[in-house]
Amino acid sequence: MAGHKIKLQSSDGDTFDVEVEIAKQSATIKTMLEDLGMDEEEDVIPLPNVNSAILKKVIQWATHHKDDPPPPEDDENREKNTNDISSWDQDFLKVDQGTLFELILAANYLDIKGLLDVTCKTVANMIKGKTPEEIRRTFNIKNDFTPQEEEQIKKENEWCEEK
Amino acid sequence: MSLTNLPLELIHRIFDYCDILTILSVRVTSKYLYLAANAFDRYDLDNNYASENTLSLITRFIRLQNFVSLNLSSGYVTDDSFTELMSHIDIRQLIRLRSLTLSNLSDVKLKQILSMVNSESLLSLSIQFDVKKYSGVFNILSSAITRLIALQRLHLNTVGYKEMQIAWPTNCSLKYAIIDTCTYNQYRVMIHSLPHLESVSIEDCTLNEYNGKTLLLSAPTLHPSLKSLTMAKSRLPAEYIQRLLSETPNLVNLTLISHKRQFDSLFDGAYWENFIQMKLPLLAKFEFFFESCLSKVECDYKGDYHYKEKDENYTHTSLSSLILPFRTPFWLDEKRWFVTCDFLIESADLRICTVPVIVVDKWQCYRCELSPFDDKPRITERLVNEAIGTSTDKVLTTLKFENCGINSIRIGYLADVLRHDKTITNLNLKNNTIGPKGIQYIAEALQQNKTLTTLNLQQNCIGTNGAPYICDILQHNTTLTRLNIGMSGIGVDKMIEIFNALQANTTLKAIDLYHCSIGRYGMDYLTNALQKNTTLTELNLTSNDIKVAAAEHLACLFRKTTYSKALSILNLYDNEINAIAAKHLADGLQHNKANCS
Repeated sequence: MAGHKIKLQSSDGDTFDVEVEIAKQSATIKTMLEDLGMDEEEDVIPLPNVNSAILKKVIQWATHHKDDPPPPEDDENREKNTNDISSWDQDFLKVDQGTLFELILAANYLDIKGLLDVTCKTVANMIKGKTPEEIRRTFNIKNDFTPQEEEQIKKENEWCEEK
Repeated sequence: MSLTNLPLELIHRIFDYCDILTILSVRVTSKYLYLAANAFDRYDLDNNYASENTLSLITRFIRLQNFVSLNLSSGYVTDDSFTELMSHIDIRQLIRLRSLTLSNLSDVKLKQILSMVNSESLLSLSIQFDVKKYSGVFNILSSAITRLIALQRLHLNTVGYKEMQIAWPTNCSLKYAIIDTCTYNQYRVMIHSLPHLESVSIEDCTLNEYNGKTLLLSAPTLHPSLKSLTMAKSRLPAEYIQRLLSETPNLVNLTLISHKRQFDSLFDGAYWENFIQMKLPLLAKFEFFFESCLSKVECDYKGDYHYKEKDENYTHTSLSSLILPFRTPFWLDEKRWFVTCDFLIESADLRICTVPVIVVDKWQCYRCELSPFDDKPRITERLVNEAIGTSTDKVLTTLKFENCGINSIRIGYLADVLRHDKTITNLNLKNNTIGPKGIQYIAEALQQNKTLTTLNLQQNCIGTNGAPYICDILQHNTTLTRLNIGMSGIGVDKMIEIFNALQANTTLKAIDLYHCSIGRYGMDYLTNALQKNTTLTELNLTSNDIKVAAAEHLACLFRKTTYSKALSILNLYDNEINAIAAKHLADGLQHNKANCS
């Protein structure tokens, strides 16, 4: 039914009216709707793992992509190509790292394949071609190896320095 | 929230988009990511970016069963070092290998590797081979495809060469096929032999049969399994494209790209509407890009280019009339496929395509374009795949097409833009071949245009047949202030008609009549016209065989006070004007402030 809406409730209690067709890009919500057999507008779907700010972003993404063709089924042949991110998505993902990782978690929880793909690709692009030290700096990763472990890894990874 | 807070599963998801060297860099940044990399079991092995030393190290700390993808190419390595490299990797131990890519291997190595690959795990196989060097390759491929029972996706550079071609195994489970080049017949044999094929992508589809035999369209057979078809560089004639599409009635996705083709039924929206309703009822996504060169390059059915002038008997198809059949409820409401079209002035390519545009322009050029929701064509330098209104989409005020080989066909499209244009003030078409037909298009456009002020038509083969249209411009247009019609081959008789038209014109400030064979006879009429015209202030009469007597006319004119205010720049260079004539002129000019050079 076109235009039919449901309510999604974020972890912090805000509710969002979303068209069913848009919400159904989330396989999690789609399954919930089918299992619950929901058809009354009053029903609210609680999403305890997603806060308002992130849910709002997710809905924005899903609204923009509502007419996209369904993703290909052959997951096995997923392309390594990370240069195919649309300019809209690139702009959409110009967010701080915290938000980006929250979006990955939300896309995973809500099972929205397209959003998960594009967010993971974005992170991959941030990592690619960087040295370990650059990666640490980019993502603010603490080097928690003990000196002995460090020595061991250094030996293992001698080729890394050669590059 | 940071990278190291993500669960392992999601770190691995990110690793899926990273090459092995990147993952190994991530591996040494922290304990958690070290564990994540060690636990990752979907590694790619590619000898293109890893040296032999690196490969031997990699295989030392990643177990072979954790590789799901292998890419081997002997393109840049010697046979010996390739053999050495292979000694590090026991293909048989890659028990979870899903994807295998092999490039430029000899048929001996190809056979060896393909016979060792785990047939139960391999889903995707991609092979690039040199068919001219290794004649046994099609037999090797046929038996490999037969053995690899789990294979779903196959990418080959070609499926046949001369008399040889792949013998497709019966009951093959292949679902996806990507072929770089293939002929119409090879395509048909393939979809006929592979009953589970759902998706086919062909980079370059030709009609070319090596023996040059003419292909006959045989009776259609239906292949209901195919859902998705892409032809990225189809050189097939329309009837062949339509025939092969009518054999796959369950198509959901269709992508067709074709350059340099004849202007045929592929450009006809009404034809497509009818065809899709009859033959492809399930089609949900249709992306296309068709290009036809209208001016000189023609491509025959064999893919050879022929150069021809098509000016004779050519009828102008405006962008508006081209796009109209693509704006029916079928296209806009039912299917929601939006179509745009454009015409490239410099190359005379007419193109029609769906939006968003799937082809990327290689360089900037002037395009007359009609966007899906516009009524009037506009001219732009923006690339076709770029959005309207971006920084490269600047407003054009001056168009310069000097020596661009612009003929009447191209002018037809330019004139369609000019008719409604509100930004272009200066159009320079110097030294082209627009001819009488071209000037007719321009004259018609200038009846409506209210913006263009400067028009340079010098040296354009306008001729006696085109002259009346210049009169039209002078009589009807009230915006143009500068006009150059030098070297147009108009002849004195028609020039006189132009002078008569000039007489009543009240807008033009400058006219360039360089090399217009005006002579003494023509000068009578020009002087007469200038007596009545009060707006013209610049006149170029260079190389007009004016001589003494004619110059006297001008001198007379200058003496008349009614005219003395107007003309301020006069060029009489190269007119055999001797001392006497110059004296006449000088006398006359005493009453006038004109500069004489």
